[in-house]
Amino acid sequence: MTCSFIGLMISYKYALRPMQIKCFRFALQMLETEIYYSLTPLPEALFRVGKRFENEIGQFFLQVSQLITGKDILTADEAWKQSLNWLKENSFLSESDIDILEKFGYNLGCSDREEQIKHLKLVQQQLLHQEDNAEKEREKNERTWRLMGFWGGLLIVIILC
Amino acid sequence: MEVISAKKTGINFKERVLDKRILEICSPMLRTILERLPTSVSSNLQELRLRQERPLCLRCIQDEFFVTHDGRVTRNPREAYFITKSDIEKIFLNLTRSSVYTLDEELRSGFITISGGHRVGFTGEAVLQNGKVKSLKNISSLNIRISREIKGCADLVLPLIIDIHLNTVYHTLIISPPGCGKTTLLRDIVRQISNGIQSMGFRGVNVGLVDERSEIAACYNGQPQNDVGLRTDVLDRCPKAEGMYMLVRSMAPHVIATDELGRAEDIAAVEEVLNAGIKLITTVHGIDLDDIKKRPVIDRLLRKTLFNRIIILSSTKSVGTVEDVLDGSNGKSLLEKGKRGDKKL
Repeated sequence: MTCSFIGLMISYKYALRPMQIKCFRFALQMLETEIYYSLTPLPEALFRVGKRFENEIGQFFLQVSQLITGKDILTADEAWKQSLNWLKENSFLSESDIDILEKFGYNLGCSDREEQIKHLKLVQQQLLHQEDNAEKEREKNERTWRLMGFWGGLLIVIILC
Repeated sequence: MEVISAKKTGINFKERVLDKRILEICSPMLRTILERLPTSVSSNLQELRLRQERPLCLRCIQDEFFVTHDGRVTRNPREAYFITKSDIEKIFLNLTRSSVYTLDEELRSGFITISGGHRVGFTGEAVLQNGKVKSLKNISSLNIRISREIKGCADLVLPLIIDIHLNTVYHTLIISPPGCGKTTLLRDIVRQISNGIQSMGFRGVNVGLVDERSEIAACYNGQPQNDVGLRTDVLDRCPKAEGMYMLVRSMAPHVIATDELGRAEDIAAVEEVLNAGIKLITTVHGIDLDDIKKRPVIDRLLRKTLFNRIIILSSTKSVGTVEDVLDGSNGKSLLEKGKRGDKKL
């Protein structure tokens, strides 16, 4: 029982990563709208996006917004990077996902509208790619881990008997 | 030199006169340097000049210094703190609250007004679109101009430009070289005639202010940061000629004030203003009457003797010395001999 539960847990982790990437992608899409159509200043745009998601991704955006307006007055890329470190610990995003997001952060807020949109489109595309990969990985691993858990458990039961 | 000797005689390092809102936009390194500046320097500061890979330079009222990394002022550029690329980038991002994309118009005009009315000008690489400047990138130089209101600086000239019987003002032209307090004087005149002057029995009048360079009222998010009076309506960042037409049409002002007349299209606008029976107070760059007569546009205006009063400023004694106030119709001085060259500020 325990072993199949552990197997389920591990497979759950693989299922969460594509979900979180997708969520991040949606958030960036919203940010794009805020920047392109409403010309909302970045801290406020990030705040609005953050409010829409009640998970780690939402928290991440709120955190970036707070760091920019907070008393230390970080620039957008510093705030983004610092919050990414937090997100790394608190989400199932992989090293390569974080890497893509970090590179995107360098350009955040520091160029005109058209250029911002270009960067946002690019990072969304990259995330989509990551999402596909994550999905494939999930299919592959989910089954393996679930079976592994079950068979492992069975094996232990047999041995103990 | 005065400032340096004042520093030697002992200063209070802790006291900070520099506006917090300026320190807030600075990079951490620069913030610590500026916080250590002696009060005698920071209270007289007019401009902070930041150029990438070059020494940090301060401009005080009549002097210029470099600043070392521990906040000492020096005349030797080699001792000075050299501004880094990241300093400039950081300040620029703080300035825009990391939202450069919201500031298309500001990037094109080359300056941003921050809260407190201070102006930050910048240069860098121009981005062109159809041969016109679309925006600036790779910002390399910043000039932070500290705005100081000097309330009451117009007290000396006000009695001369106000017609107390009709409760109105005369058409007035202020002539001044750059940095002699022309805008400061104009701002105080606007504030006082808008509020009304009790001691003279002058009731306040509606003033329309066309603030093309955002220097007089220094609007931040449309809100004047300087006190320009109770009855003043501000058209911020609006081209002068167009702004004057707009004010005549929309706000029925009694007086229109604007800074730095000089373009050909301004003349037609000025005539329109005068035809509408509105009084005009404006300024122009120049040393004296003869100097500005060399400029065809201004000369045309002067020939028509549109202006009743001409105020000439200089910085011979200190910034904002009123050299003379002339009667526009006959060119005679209205100042008593003894008062001429009086310090205004």
